[in-house]
Amino acid sequence: MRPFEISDEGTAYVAALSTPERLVLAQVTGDVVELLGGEDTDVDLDDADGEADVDRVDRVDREETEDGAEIGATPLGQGSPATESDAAPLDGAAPLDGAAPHDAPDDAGASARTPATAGDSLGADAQDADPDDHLRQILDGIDADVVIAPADPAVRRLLPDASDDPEVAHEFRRLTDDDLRQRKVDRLLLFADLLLEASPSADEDEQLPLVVGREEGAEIAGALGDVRQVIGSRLGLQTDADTDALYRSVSATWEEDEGDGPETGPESARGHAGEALSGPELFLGSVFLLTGYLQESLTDCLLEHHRRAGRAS
Amino acid sequence: MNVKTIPGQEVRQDTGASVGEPWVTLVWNDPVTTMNYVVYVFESYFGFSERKAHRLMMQVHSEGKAVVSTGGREKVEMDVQAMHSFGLWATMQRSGE
Repeated sequence: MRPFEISDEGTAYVAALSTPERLVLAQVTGDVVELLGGEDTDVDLDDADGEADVDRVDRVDREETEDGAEIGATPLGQGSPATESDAAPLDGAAPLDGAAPHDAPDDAGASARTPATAGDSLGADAQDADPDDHLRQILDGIDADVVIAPADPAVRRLLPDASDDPEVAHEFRRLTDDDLRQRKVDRLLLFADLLLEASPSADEDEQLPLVVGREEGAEIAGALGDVRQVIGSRLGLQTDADTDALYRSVSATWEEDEGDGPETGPESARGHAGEALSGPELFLGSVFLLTGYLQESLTDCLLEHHRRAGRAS
Repeated sequence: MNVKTIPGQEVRQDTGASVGEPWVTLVWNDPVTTMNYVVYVFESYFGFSERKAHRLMMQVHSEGKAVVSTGGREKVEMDVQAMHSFGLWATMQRSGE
């Protein structure tokens, strides 16, 4: 990966990514689209069908699933047809290749034994329904058009409560939920399209340019942020210290892979809980860092252009 | 969109904004969003100066939150929606709460 820079003409922001990096990011981005209830049409890397109509998982019209077993668990994770075939391009694609996820749901079956994919790793737990949500859903049940807070904490991070006053939060959600979701879905799909624009290279190390038009820059930075929020939620990042520890752990494994890091033993990859990072955590952690470098460098470009325009006016 | 705010307005924080500005927008620290992105949002959306945006970002980072705008409910609702759209964690509340 090479971070974003302003193009020579100043009309675009250009980064560079290897083919495996592109495919991983496109897949993860598509998974976030699905979490938001957007239709995952363009970003499927395989020909999976039957997944086209993805209903919003946290709307009242899904509330028939009393115990929340399906809320948030659909459509990601279990049995997703994407898991098998999408794993293939990642094989050997250090540092983004992952091992088998050990926390996959029991019924994930064969997919749990494939290399980690975002589909496995970003899938919502079935247990994450908040009792407050349930109460709110019951209270709101008389209005078929009502919008409830997402049960999945990752989605809730993208569409947070706007107030600790339930009435204010509810009214805000009713007014804004559709627009916010659509905006986020649209820019995630744009990002996925840009990632898949370049023809794949057989050389896994070849860095292919990722060109973001100047007018698309803010949208792509936002999409990168949304992807990072979902990954951060799945990795349980709650404090700045958690994030710092993740950076250290993942960076250590990269240095180890390159064989020139100061730490080369199996002790080098430690999560903030003191456990070795591996499997889906390492995979998601790697994507988290990668998207972080992309977002930070793109934001630097945006800031430069914004300030330049401000000085000119 | 570029909502201008009166310079210095935000330093009143959540203890007693003036009459006529009954609501405040709070931006909260989160472990994921990068510091430069917060600065970018503050500069590009609110039109804050580089210095002011940086100061507010540091307040979010070190104190956990900062008041970034004040106004009527609809105005603050719009600001919170914009923050959520950018991907920042923002809430609204009545002044003085």
